[in-house]
Amino acid sequence: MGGYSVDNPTLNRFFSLHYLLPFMIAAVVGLHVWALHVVGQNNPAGVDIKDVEKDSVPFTPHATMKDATGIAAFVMLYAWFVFFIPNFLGDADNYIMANPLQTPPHIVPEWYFLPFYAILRAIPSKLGGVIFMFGAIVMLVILPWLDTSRVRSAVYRPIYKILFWVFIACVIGLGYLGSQPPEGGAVLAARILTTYYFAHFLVILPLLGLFETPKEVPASINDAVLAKHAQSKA
Amino acid sequence: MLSKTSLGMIAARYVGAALLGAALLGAPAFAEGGHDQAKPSRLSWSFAGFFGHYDQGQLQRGFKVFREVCANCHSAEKLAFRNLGEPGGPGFSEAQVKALAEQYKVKDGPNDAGDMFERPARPSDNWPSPFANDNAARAANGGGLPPDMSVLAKARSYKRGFPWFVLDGLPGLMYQEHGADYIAALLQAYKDEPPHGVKLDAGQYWNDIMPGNRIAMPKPISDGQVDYTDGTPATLENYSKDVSAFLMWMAEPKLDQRKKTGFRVLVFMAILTGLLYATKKRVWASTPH
Ligand code: HEC
Repeated sequence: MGGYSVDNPTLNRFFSLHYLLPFMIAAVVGLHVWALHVVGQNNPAGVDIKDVEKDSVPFTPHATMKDATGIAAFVMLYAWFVFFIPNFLGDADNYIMANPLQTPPHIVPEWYFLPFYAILRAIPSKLGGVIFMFGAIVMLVILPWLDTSRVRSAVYRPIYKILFWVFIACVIGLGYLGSQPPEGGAVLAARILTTYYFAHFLVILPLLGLFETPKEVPASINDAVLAKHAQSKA
Repeated sequence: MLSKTSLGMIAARYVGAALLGAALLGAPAFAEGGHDQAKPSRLSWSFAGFFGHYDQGQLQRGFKVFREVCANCHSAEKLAFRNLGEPGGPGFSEAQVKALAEQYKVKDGPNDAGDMFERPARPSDNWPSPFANDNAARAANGGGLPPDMSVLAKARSYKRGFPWFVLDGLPGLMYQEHGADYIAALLQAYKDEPPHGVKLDAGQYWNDIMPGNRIAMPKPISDGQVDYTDGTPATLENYSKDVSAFLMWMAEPKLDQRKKTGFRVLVFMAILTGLLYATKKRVWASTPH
C-alpha cells in the first residue's frame, strides 16, 4: 500500500494497476478469438457441430447481419441513457466536491457492483466479507467443474431453466439491497440471498445434474432446427 | 440526499410500495411520518421530458433571484458571465452581458509592480464569490457553509424508492428533475417554529425538506422580495420555481442541445435498426433456424 494507511501512494499504485487492466483485457480478447477458431461457437442446442455443411452457416453475412442488428438496437438503448437519463445510474452525491475529511453518510458503489457490495456487507466479518465478495466471482471461474449435468444446453433442462431465472432474480435482489442502507430487514434479506447465491453454485448445480431428468437432446444442430420447425408448423 | 433513513422511513417505504395503487392516484408524499423529511412534490418543468427545453423568461427571472438573493451567500465558481448569453440559457445579449459584468469587481494580477488589484469583470470572467474562502463563509453564516451553486441542482436529489426509481427512467414516464424539485420545495418548507418539543441550536432553522430537518440557511426569500418586471406574480412559489430552473440551467447549460441531439440520434438509429433487421431477415430467409 506504500505506507501504513490508505494514502496517495496507495492511490497511485491503484491507478497504475487500473491502467494495466485494459491491456490484460486486450490479451483476453486475443484468447477469445483463438478459442473461437479452435473450439468454435456455442449454440442454443449445446450440441457440437457434426456436419459443417448441414449444421452451420457462413459467419458473414449470417452472424454479421444478426449481430449488427443487435448492436444497433443496443446503441438505441445506450443513446437513451446518454441523451435523456444521463444521471439515472449515478448518484447526486457524485456532484459534490470530493472532501477527504467527510465521508458521505451512505456509500453506494456503481450499480454493477451493487450485488457484490450487498454480499460484502451481508457477511458479519470484514475479512470474510471480502473473501465472499471475490468468491462470488470465483464461482464463475470454477463453474465448469460444478456443473455435473451431461446436457450442455439449458433448453433441455426443465428444472435448471427455472432455477436459472431464480438465480437472476436473486442477483437483482442483491443489487437492490446493495443500494439500500444496511438496516433492519435489509440485512436479513441480504444474508438469505447471499446464501442462495452460493448455494446455487455449490449445492444446486452439482446435485441438480445428478437428479434432473433432461429432455432428449437432438443428435445434431440440424435435427434441433428441423424439430423446432416441425413444432411451429404443427 | 441519502442521509435520512431511519427504521421508520424504511417501514414507511415498504408500506408505500404496498400502497402503490393509492400513490398512483397522486399522493407523492407517502413517506412522511413524524419529523421525517417530507418528499418534495413533482412540479412541471419546461425542461422535463423528451422535448424539454429551458424557458428563457423563467431563466431570466431565476437569474434575478439568484443574483439579488442567493449570490449574497452562495458562490457559483463555474459560471462565467459569458455563459449568460449562450444559446439555451437566459439569452442575454452581448451588450447586456458586458454591462452586467462591469457591475462586478474581480481580483486580478499580479501587475507590473507585483501587486494584486481589482478591476471590473469582463464577460470571460467567472462569477465572483461572495466570500474570500470557506472559513469566511462559515463565519458569516453561523457555522454553516453555503454550498457552491455551480452544479447544486444536480448534487441534490431525493429518493423515490422502488418501483418509482425504475419507472422514472422509462420513455414517457421519464422523471429526471429531482434536484430542481428538491430545491424548489426546500425554499418553501421553512417553519417559523420547530415542532413541539424540538429544540434548535443557535443558527439552525426548521425545514421540512432538508434531510434531518435542521438547516443552517435562514429562510432566504419570501413574497415580494424581488421585483419581477414581466408581470409574473412576485410570490415565494414563483421565486422558488424560477431560481430552481435557473440553478438547473447552471448545472446543465447544454440540456437543450443534449435533448435535441438525442432525438436525432434516436431517429437515425431507429431507421438504421429497421434496415438492418430487414436485411437480417432477408439473409436468413433461406436458412431454417
Ligand atoms: C444568508 C445566506 C444565504 C442566502 C441568502 C441563501 N443561502 Fe442557501 N444556504 C446557506 C447556508 C449557510 C447553507 C448551508 C445549510 C446547511 O448546510 O445546513 C445553504 C444551503 C443551501 C442549499 C442546500 C441545502 C441542502 O440540501 O444541503 C440550497 C439548495 C440552497 N442553500 C439554496 C439557496 C437558494 C436557492 C437561495 C436564494 C433564493 C439561497 N440558498 C440563499 C446560506 C444562504
